[in-house]
Amino acid sequence: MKTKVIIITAILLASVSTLIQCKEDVRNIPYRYVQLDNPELESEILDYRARIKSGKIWMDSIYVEVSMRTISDSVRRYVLSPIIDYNHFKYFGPFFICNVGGEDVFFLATAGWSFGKKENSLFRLSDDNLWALTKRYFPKRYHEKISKGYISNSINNHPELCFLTFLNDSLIDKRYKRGFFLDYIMMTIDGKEDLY
Amino acid sequence: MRRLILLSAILFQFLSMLTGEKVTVGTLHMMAQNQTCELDDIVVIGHQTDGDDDDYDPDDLWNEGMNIGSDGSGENSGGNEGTNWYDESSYNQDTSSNWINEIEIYNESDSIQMMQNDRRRLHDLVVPKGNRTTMETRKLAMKFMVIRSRYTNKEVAAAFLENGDVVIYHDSESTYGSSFFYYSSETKNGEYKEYYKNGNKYYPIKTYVHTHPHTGCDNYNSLCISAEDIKNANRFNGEINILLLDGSFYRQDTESSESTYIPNYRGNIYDNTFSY
Repeated sequence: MKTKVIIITAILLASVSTLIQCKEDVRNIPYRYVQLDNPELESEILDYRARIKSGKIWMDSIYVEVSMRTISDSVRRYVLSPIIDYNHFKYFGPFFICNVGGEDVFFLATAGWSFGKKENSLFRLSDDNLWALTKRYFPKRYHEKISKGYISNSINNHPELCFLTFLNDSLIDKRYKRGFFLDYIMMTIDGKEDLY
Repeated sequence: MRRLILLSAILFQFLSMLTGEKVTVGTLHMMAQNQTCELDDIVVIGHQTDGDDDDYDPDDLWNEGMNIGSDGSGENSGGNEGTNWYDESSYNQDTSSNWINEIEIYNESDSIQMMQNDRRRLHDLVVPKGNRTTMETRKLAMKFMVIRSRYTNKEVAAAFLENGDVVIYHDSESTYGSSFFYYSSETKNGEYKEYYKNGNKYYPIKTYVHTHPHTGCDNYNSLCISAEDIKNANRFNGEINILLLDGSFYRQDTESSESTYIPNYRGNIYDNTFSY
């Protein structure tokens, strides 16, 4: 009888602590409230992820970012690029997160970003949120900050980005090129050649 | 020391006979006296430590190169491939006085590049200002960067220090499309800056430069400026300095989209009148 009580109490305690942990995890994951509902875009993200992870990687974590831009009421641009370091969150935002193929993908709303000094930016990520994201996605960097009090090292990275153009939610153009997610591309849409 | 330098010159001359590149003993002798040198074949990395130069503590010199006269020790430093790149101790430099006053010969020949390859992969190379002007020092360093980048087909990054020295980072972690560099963002003497840290010594960084060996950039973004370029520029007054492999030097300002995208050509490093 006593043994039964002890076992049941232990199971209850374990369940409660698990629930608390889960709740803690959900609370600490910011922005994750939407799901991606486009199979073509999802497929391209998975392909790009495999591509960037197959290259020579010497940083500990790498994620896919999707920068979104509206070209017209029916044409949208999605640019896939790698996130390789924690300070990406600090300089490029705002964003939200979707889980695609079992891993988080960051969706950047380019309308909220602008050139110029970051202190003049419309949006800012708080230090608390920056380090919460760093802890989750770049744990080695986080521990470096904790142990040394600062972070050094950086990368000049010029990866091939994947520029996807969608017309009415269908992929009409895909190309790889080095550059920046706000780059325009010369292409033809509806018979008109222009920079989009 | 001078004898050793001359012996090395003979050796290098023999090598240059094999490679077809010209190296003169006379030029080397002049190098040993820390005179102005011709840059086509030979570069002096290092300078005299006779106490006349008030800017330097001999222990600060971390010059790399052909290790003339030393026992070859100090190979513990550098970013060894496979080393955790967050580990600062992996790139601390040997400050032994054996490394002072060395001469490094470099040119385009593959044999010389091959001899130096491991050192360049693993060790930062310091080009001290010495008796040169800051601009001469930077041009010298950038010429080396171009040669190195051509040989490895990788990006090469360097920091221009506030004291006029240039640090060319080791490139074992670099790739065709990326270069690795490091700094410490800290407050020293009441000033928050980016520093090149060597052991316990901190050297403020003025700005940085890196090569772009990649081709195929389109007309819209003809320098292939990336998000990382823009992000790193925030640490250095919004400035991106790009060196192409033909010696063309560009300085972009990330304060606006126009000045980021429109190439701001500042000249060619092989041009005697180059300055920016």
